[in-house]
Amino acid sequence: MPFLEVRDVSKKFGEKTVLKNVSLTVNRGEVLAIAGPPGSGKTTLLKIVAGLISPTSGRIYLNGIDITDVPPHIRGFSMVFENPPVYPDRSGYENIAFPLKLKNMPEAEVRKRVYEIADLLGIRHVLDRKPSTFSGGEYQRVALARALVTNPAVLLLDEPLRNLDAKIREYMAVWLKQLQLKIGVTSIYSTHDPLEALTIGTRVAVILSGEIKQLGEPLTILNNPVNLDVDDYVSIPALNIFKGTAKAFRGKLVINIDKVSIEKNVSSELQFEERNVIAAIRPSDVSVVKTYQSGTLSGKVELIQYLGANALATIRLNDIAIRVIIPKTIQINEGDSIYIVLDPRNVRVYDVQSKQRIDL
Amino acid sequence: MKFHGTRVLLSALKYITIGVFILWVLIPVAWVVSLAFKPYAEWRVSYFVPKNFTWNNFIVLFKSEAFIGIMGATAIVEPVTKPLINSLVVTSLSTIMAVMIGFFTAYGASRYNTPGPFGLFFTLLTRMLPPATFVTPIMVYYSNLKLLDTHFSLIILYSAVTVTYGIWILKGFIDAIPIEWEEAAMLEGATPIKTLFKVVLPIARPGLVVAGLFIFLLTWTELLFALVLTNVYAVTLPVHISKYVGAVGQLYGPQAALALIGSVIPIAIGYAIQKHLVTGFTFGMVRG
Amino acid sequence: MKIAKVRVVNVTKRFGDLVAVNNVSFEVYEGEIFTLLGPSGCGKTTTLRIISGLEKPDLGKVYIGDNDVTTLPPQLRNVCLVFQEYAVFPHMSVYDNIAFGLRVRKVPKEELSKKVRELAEVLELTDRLNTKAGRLGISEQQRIALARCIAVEPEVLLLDEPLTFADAKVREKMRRELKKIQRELGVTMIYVTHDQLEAMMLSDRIAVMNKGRLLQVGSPIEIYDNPQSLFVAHFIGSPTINTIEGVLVKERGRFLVKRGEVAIDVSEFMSSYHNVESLLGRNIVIGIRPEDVYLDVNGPIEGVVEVIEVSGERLAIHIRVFKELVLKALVPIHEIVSEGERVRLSFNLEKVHIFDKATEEKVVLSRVK
Repeated sequence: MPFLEVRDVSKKFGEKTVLKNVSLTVNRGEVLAIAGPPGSGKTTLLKIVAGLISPTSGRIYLNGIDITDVPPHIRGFSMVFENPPVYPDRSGYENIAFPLKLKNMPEAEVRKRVYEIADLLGIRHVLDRKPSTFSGGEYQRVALARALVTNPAVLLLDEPLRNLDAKIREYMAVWLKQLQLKIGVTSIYSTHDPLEALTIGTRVAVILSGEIKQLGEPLTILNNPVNLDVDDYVSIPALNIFKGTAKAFRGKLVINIDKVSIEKNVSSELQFEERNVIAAIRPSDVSVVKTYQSGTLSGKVELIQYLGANALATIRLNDIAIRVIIPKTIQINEGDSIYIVLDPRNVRVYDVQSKQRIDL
Repeated sequence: MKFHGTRVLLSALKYITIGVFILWVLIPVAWVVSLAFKPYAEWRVSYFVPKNFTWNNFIVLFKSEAFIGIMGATAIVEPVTKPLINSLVVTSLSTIMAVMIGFFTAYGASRYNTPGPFGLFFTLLTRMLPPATFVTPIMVYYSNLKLLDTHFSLIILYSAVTVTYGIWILKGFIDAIPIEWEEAAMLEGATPIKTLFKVVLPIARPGLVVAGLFIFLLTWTELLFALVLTNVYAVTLPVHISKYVGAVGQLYGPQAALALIGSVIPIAIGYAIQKHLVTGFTFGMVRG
Repeated sequence: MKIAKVRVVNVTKRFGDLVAVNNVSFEVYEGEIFTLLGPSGCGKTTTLRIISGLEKPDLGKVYIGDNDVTTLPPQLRNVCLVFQEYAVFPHMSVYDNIAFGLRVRKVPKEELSKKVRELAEVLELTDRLNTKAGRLGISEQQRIALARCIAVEPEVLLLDEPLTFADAKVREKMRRELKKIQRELGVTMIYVTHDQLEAMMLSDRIAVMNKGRLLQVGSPIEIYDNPQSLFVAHFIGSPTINTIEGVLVKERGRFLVKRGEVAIDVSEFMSSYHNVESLLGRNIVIGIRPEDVYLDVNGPIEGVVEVIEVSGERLAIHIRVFKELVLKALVPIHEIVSEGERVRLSFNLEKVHIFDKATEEKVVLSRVK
């Protein structure tokens, strides 16, 4: 039995449907990451789990018990928000101690627990300070300490790293993962950043426009997206998407894009007549060579953007532009001619209407 | 550089303008200060610094006998002690009432949209009519209710006409408090009422102070209502000040002295609470 | 021949006790994208504001073209600044937004209309000209802000973290668009950001700042491959560079970096340099980029996979080598690794950087020919 279950939850605000038949489960001790762009319904979903908003339909179960109508302060969950609840008028200590004092816990016990959690999160030095002196990372850690100090049954994190500088965000994401491995609190983590979700989540649910499009382990989602929108969302740098046609017969899938034809081996059961499709390939799955070889496509480098270990090049082939990750060992300049190598195995084909994968 | 000359001229002009403006504001204040320390003989002369510096103007404020001899002028005015206490009591209590009622209303308006947008706007109505239009009906009501010339009647009236400032100022402050800060407390086991008192109220403290100071100043200097609705027992400071010049005589010196006392009190209060005005409210993080 | 368009010479700016900008000098060439990069509070925004004229430096000079503009007010400098937010007037149409600066300058109606339409074409806003700017998304609003600035033909276009409020996806797209637009128009751009990846992807040259000081100026590749200080090495690159701190010692003919139980053999690297002996006994920091650390069954170092971080097109594997030391290795996404697994590592010793622990500066070694 799953520890926490969200069953068929929908939410409407007036006419607007924010969540559509969302179902998911969270196992004890795991982190379920909810990944989706801003406005996809992540925060609403978390607030429904917390009990701050009631769903239009659907139920929430904890350990098999229906808690949909249990008010938030009885559920025993904690939540860290994008605007983290760190009150500016009191010290770090008072902020962390706040939920314990609400429960009228004796002062000695409060002290012990606040110090314990502060040591665990490495923020003992901010206990006597006011929030206005905290750095971004300290601010978030105080919020987290406050959420953890009550030993919540479920920890809900709503974009906790959103307001941090990029460099600190990267550090904090790994730090959070390590912390979670140490304390094992059951968590739901929402973020707009697919990489953050894939790093932190034991499993990841990709939510787009209020619907869960795919739920699975991080690497499964990354390597085997079932839907074009999921593929596009998790691909960084941005996915190359082309309109084209395709037909499948006798274990072969022939894809035509612009003047390019790609042949891919597929299951022999897959058969269809020529039809419009969308083909997608990640920039990291395309490679380039500087001299012509058979099977390569000739193009011109339009733009180069350095990423560090490698560079992202935008290459123009006739009427289409394709983005390619190029290792730094290949030296190219804007305006150079170059040859592209496409591995058909890396090209994924999607239905135009349903956007579902069709080349499996 | 070719702009140089023009720019010097421009900045000189800027400072001259500012200087003139400052003088224009400060001269009347300086005149009151000067007058408060001048003996009777110097009240009508045009120099600033008194030739014979005196505290007499302050001393007579607290005496009840006729002012013959001390001042060289004849008049009978009640001592200032009672109006001063009246003003302090009435202003403090009505300010506290207006701020507290304002806070709860503002919270409802901010979080639950309770009075609705028009309802909130409606609270401004008391400030849109000139007070003179409703002071007479109120006097009639109070007279029928036997409330004329009482502290209670003034407190009720003052808090009613100033509460709208409390609502509007505090709504701005409460709007700026992220709702998540309350939601977190609720998850942690706080009831809505507890959240209001333990989270919102302390965080909104700078707002309460700002609203309180503003309302205090308005009420402290109010003349019209007090003049019409009080007579003997509940006379406030502004009413009392007005008594020194008029039918009883031309006691400019004591009037200036009392004006000075009357303005020192709010200045002292403002100074005492200024640290509450700057603390708190550093939402979000520093960037740059 | 590169022509300096903007020159900042020995500029210092204090706010009370805080030295926001400390003796900073650099040149920005005509037609390039130059980025001021650094963490919050490093002085990059203040530097940009000094160039724009919104702040006056306490010391130093600013030149635009050949003119000393140090004391010139912003409106006379012919620069334009795109802000982090509030970049457009939401109540005005896109057309009126772009035309705003031109109207202030009393440009004749026909010329104005022609110019607005031209720019709208380049920035792909043509079909939005009559829409209210406030109704559009962040990416479109920033393009409008950009068009409005470009319309007045500034000598230099200044941008202060214009993509801060966009989400990751939009940001990546905007970086590409911005660079394309700059390439098309050839305008000189000075860009401020705290995001090193943004700086790398966008810029022709980058100036890295920290605590008011300018640490290094160079192309993205130079800064990435040859950081002159520990700070730059740390700040540039994602995942962050691996660092190993310790004292350099020589034991049984091998060079080791030791601290507590940590001991890493760097003989292979050290033996290719002359003046290594002078480093013995000193506290040093070794920096090595995650892409230069490999999973290698025959590698000399062993550790346990602790966290798998998904980092763009690759995975960053965090491997605990000692109790006090975690190293990151970059591997392709298709690589199968799981948390808790024991793995062996090796380094590409060619790519090792050595820093002095005390000064945090790069140690210059001369290579044995």
